[in-house]
Amino acid sequence: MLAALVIVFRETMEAGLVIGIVLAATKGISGRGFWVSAGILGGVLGASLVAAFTHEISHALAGMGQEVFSAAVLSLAVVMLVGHNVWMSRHGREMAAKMKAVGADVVAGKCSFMALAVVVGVSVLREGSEVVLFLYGISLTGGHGAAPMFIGGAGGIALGGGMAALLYLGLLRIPTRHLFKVTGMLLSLLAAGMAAQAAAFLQQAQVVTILTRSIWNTSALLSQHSIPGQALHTLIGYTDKPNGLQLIVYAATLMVIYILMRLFGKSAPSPQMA
Amino acid sequence: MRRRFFLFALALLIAAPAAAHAGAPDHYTLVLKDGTFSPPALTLPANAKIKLIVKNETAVPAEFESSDLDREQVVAAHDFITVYLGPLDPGVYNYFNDFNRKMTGKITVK
Repeated sequence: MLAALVIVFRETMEAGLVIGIVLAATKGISGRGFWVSAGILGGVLGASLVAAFTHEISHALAGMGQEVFSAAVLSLAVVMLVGHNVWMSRHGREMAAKMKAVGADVVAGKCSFMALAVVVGVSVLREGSEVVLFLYGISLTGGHGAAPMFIGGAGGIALGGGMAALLYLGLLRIPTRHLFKVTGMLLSLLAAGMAAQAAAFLQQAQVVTILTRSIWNTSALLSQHSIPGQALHTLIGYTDKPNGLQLIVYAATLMVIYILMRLFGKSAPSPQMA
Repeated sequence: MRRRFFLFALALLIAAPAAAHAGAPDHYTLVLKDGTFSPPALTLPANAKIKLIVKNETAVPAEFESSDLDREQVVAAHDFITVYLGPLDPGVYNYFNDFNRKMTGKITVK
C-alpha cells in the first residue's frame, strides 16, 4: 500500500505543482475554475489514451515514439507558457489593479487562460499515463493485494492534490500587486525547465546528437529523483546532471521570454498603487 | 577523371566499414521476467553508442527507470522498448522497474 502511495504521489506531485502555480497565476480571473478543470479532465483522458496506446507509441518512429511524443507535448506546453507570459506582460498590471478579466481584452485573456489549461493538461497527461499503467498493472495481478494498493494509489493522488493546494495557498500570501510578477517568473522557469527536458528527450531519441555530455553532477548533493529534487525539477527545471544542450536551451528559453515580454509588453508609466 | 573515380571508390571501400561500425551502435538486451531483470549485471563498453532493448516478458506493464542513466520509459506487457545510450563513462549504473521497485539490476560500463 505504501509502495503504491509513494509511486502515485511521485507522479501526481509534478502535475500538482503546475496546477498550484497556474491557480495562483489566474487568481481572481472569472472562469478559471472551468479552464483548470478542463485542463485536468483533458489530461486524464489523454493519459488514459496514451496508456492504452503504449505499445503503438513505443514502436512509432523506429522505436523512439515515447521520447518524441514527450518532447512534442512539452514543447506545446512551453509555447503556451511563453504566450501567456507575453500576454501578461501587457495586462498583468491592469489585472492586479482590477482583479478581474480586463474589459476590452476578455477574448485575448480567455486565450491566455486556455493556454494555461493546455499546460495543466500536458502535465497531467505526462505523469498520469504512468499512474494509469501502474494501476492497470495492479488490477491485472489482482487478488487480495489489489484493494490496499488502490487505496495507496488514491492516497497518492490526494497527496499530489495537497501539494497543489499548499503551493497555491503559499503563493496567495504574496501581496496582489506582486503576485503576478512572481507567478510570471515561476511560469518562465517552468517553461525553461520543460524546454530543457524536451531537448533531452530529443537527444534520447537520437534526433539531436550534439552536446550530450553532462557538464556537472550534483546528484550527491541533491538527487533529481529524491522528492525535493523532483519538486525542484518541476518548478525550476533542476537537473542533477545537465548536459550542454539542456543548459543552452534553458538559458535561451528564459532569454526569449524576456525579449518577447519586452517587445510586446506595454511600456506605459506604472501607476503607483497604494 | 577515371583515376580520380578509382581513388574515390578505393577511399569509400576503406572508409565504409569504419563508418558502418561507427554508425550502427552495439546491440544489447535486458529481459524482465519472473520478478527480475536478466542478465542482472550487464557489462557495456565505455565511450560507445549502445542500443539497449528492454523486453518485458511479464503480464503487467513496467517502467524501466534509472537516475544514473537518466532514463524513464514505460514498457507494455509482453512488449519491448529501444533505449539508446552512450557514449557512457566507465562506472556502475543502477536501474529498476518503477512499477515494482523490488526488480532492480545494474549495468557496469568499462
